[in-house]
Amino acid sequence: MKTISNLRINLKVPRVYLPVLLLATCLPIPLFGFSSFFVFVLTVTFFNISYSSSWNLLAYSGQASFGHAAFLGIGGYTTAIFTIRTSIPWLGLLLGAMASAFAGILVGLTCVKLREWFLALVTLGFSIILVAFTRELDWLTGGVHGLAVPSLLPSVNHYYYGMLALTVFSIFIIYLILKSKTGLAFAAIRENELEAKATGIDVVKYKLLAFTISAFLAGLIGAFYAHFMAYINDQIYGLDYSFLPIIISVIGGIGTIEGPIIGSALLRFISEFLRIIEPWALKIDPVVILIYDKIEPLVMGVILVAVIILMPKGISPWLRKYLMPKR
Amino acid sequence: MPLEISLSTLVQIVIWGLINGCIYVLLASGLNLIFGVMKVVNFAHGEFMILGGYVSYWVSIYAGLNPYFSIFVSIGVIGIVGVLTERVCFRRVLGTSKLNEIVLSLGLIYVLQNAMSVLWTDKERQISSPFEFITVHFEIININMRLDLLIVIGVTVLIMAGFYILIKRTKIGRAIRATSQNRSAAMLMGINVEYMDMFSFGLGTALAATAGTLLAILFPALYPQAGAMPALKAFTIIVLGGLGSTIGAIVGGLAYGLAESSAIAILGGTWRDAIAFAILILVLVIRPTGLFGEKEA
Amino acid sequence: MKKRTQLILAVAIIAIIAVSIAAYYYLTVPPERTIKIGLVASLTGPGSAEGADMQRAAILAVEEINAAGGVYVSEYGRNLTVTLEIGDDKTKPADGVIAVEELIKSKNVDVLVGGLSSSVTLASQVPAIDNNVPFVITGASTPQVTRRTDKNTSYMFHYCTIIDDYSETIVKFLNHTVRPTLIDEGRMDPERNLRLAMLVRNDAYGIGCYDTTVRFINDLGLPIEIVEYQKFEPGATDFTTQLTLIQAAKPDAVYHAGLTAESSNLVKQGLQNVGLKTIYIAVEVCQTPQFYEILGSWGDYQILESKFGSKAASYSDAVDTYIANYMQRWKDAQGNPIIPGMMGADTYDAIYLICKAIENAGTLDKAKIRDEIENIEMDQMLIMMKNGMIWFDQNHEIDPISFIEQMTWNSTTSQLTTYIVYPDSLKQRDFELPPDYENEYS
Repeated sequence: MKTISNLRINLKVPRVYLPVLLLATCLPIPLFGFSSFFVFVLTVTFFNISYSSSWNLLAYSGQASFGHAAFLGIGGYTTAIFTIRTSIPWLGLLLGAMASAFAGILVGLTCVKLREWFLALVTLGFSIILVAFTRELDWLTGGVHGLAVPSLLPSVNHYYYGMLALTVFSIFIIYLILKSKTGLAFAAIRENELEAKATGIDVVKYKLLAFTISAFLAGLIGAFYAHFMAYINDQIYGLDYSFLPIIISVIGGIGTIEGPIIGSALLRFISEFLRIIEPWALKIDPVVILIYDKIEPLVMGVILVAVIILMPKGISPWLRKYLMPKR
Repeated sequence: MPLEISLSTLVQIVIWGLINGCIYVLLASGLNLIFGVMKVVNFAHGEFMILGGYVSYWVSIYAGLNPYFSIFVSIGVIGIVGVLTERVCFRRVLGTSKLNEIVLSLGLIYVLQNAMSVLWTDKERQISSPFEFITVHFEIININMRLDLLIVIGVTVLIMAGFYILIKRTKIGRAIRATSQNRSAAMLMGINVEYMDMFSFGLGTALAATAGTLLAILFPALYPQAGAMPALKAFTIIVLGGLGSTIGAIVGGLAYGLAESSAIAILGGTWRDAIAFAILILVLVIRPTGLFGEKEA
Repeated sequence: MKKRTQLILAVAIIAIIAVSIAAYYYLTVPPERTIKIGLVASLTGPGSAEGADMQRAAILAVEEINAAGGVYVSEYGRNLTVTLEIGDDKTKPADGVIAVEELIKSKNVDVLVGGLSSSVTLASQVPAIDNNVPFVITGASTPQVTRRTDKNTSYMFHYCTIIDDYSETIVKFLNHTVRPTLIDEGRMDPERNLRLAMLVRNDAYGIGCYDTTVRFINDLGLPIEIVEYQKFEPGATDFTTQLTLIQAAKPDAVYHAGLTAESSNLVKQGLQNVGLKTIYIAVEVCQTPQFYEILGSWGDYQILESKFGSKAASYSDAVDTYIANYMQRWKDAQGNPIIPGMMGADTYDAIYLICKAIENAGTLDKAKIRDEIENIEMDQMLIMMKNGMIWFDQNHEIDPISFIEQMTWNSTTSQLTTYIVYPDSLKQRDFELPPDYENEYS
């Protein structure tokens, strides 16, 4: 009974117009002469949105990866190595995405039969093992020195539009998937794997598909991010990058299109707010600078815990419930 | 070079493995208890460990208490913190979805880590032991050992023996075992399972607090971020040793400690963290439910 | 309905704050022209001990310069005050990029100084390179920062010792002082090589130390061999297994390259847990108050390579004055003066150097400032130079004098003090072996 009603709620086609409209309003920002740091910060925000969206797609199929940074890093390293060695621009992005998708299939194969907590550990473990390999294979990855990644675009404004396009692209792809039969299958698997199997859904195939698409997108984004940051080292596989999309998506709303946008916006909002009040905080007590950067993750952690306890589906479904009361 | 290792070097490497293993045993046992009773994976377990270390640190500094006695204070304080965490956070989401439980513990990692950073900064600390300068010499294998290392092993053995008796021989232990075997049947038999949840969570975090104190006596490992990795490793240990098995956690913890120090000795320090997960993935590829399976899904 | 009103209200408030944040970036106009120096330092993360020292030294330098009336810039026809903007790279490359982007684009700094960890600086210098902002790097020890082949590093300057200098000084010291001492005391066969073990941080800095050591031993043809080479991960706290393996190799000395916390704990664990009683040689990165604090009495007889001796007996008037001023200005929570460190000294010098260059340039144009830094010639300050002058060579590097200090534990004051034992020109005391020293012959 409960499962069926859950299914119905989740089968509502997610709205894509609102997020895309919202992102479209960001189009002219660099033209208005905002400080270019603001443009830079927004570019990072787009990265957060698109990267979290790719994680969210996987979560939509009921698989919560705790090591999504692995795909980000594989994408980044592939394009870095390829572009440095061949000096062919742009192609690296695609190669990175494909390498990452391939890794996604591998990890997915390991994970299809696993329970939630095992899946979390295996994905996390995968990214930690990659750190060790990256550090050891220095002839390929530059080892602990990292790699300086050649630039693709001349300025931050260009990267801003690139990242924006990538974000809209990811969201649109995810929207198309969620709207299709595949999306339906993902949701069915998430809600009840046995029932899904009983209705004739090829669970293994769809779970793998979710992993592949999600890893492809994460790899693509990671590759572009590496060019944007102009440097890559093994910290890209770190827990920070792995946990980031989880926090953002869970706060915003797991399995929703607009969830990562809400989550990223909230994160950016908090961090910019703290940045602006920093001078005042420092005037009160200069020692604060030593702990100031911990306040942002602390606040995010508190919000995350509060969201899970008070509105377990995230902010976005909660908002929907208010804005669109049941008829 | 590693091939020419002499006996005393080998013994020493084994000892380092066992000592790290002691920490893992304490950590894994607590995590295992919580998992057994509540079927919840608390990824934030390592943060309770570090919090326990800080409690002992401050108690030994401000009250001048011997750090080995401040373990008791730490057990009490962290036990209460654990019980509160269970009541305020975990009980609310228990049974909603596995994902929610996992992400909740992730949220707790962020809250606890950064709260500790804000309170006590990221500086690495070490609890100074009164026996810091005492070493014991073993003639047979020709090695010197710091007295604290022996005490740590002793304390671990004592705590684990007490824990074992509590679980196997007492009434509350029986209730805990009953709840972990079959929650609804236990409820029908008149066991207050919610109370069991609270108790086992508190006990589990108290064991973590012991681990944190011992760790901080041996190594300057007392800083807010230090708990994340050991907790993940402890979880891989209980996956390997069998979810819910007390002996499995002990054997697994010691074996893992050994595996880690030999990995450093043979492969190099880079592989220290990777080795646990490589073993885990291998095991899970072969047996998707873990080495010893789950008693109940 | 009521809840809906609340919601709309909440959304409206968030919107207003969001708009004001945007407006803040849009409208902020600098009130009055000052010289803006951006300090990039690691205030959180594993490098925070060194970063805090850089911050304190930079604030001290800026306060001194402003107290003396600021810097005369002819373009403005008056003295300008100096303001310091601080960016925290959190010891992570991505955060380093964000910090430098913010300093350049939001805080509009004229010159950058700082940059602690090598791998972080390699990432965080990129925005400075791309935007042509002069950057005087005072922390990162890898020579790569001014010798990159993929980027034009003409705006980058390296005002600190590079890895090559550490290793050169240490292997020369081993050959010139340690080896003869061992032979004199009958601890070593004069025919055999000195057995050196290395334990390094697994990053650009640590591995660089190893590579350069091997290179100098070969290039100079010294009778030293590396008998064991072990690595540890950044942020490690347990070094016992590596130290046990080193012990098994029976070295005459251990050269270890880590950050303050790692190096000091490593020495302590080696002596305390493992019982490896030998000479531990740290590099100057560890020249921070925390190093002496963690080591305590374990630091007795141990060795530190440096170019700024904060605990050393007096060897230079400039340094003495600086230490006194610094300890006067900075006190910890208990009111005890904080002891300055090496990276702070670099940063302090660099800020004076930058101000001098701006005065010479007479303008705040970044290209002109760059030219003046490149052609700077001024008397040495805290860091001693081989010809007594601060100047940059074609690689934009300086030519400092490094020395070796030996620590001594004073049990009455419960403090470590240090004496310079090498080179001969600066020597204050003879090098002594620890009384419980053990090597192959013990």
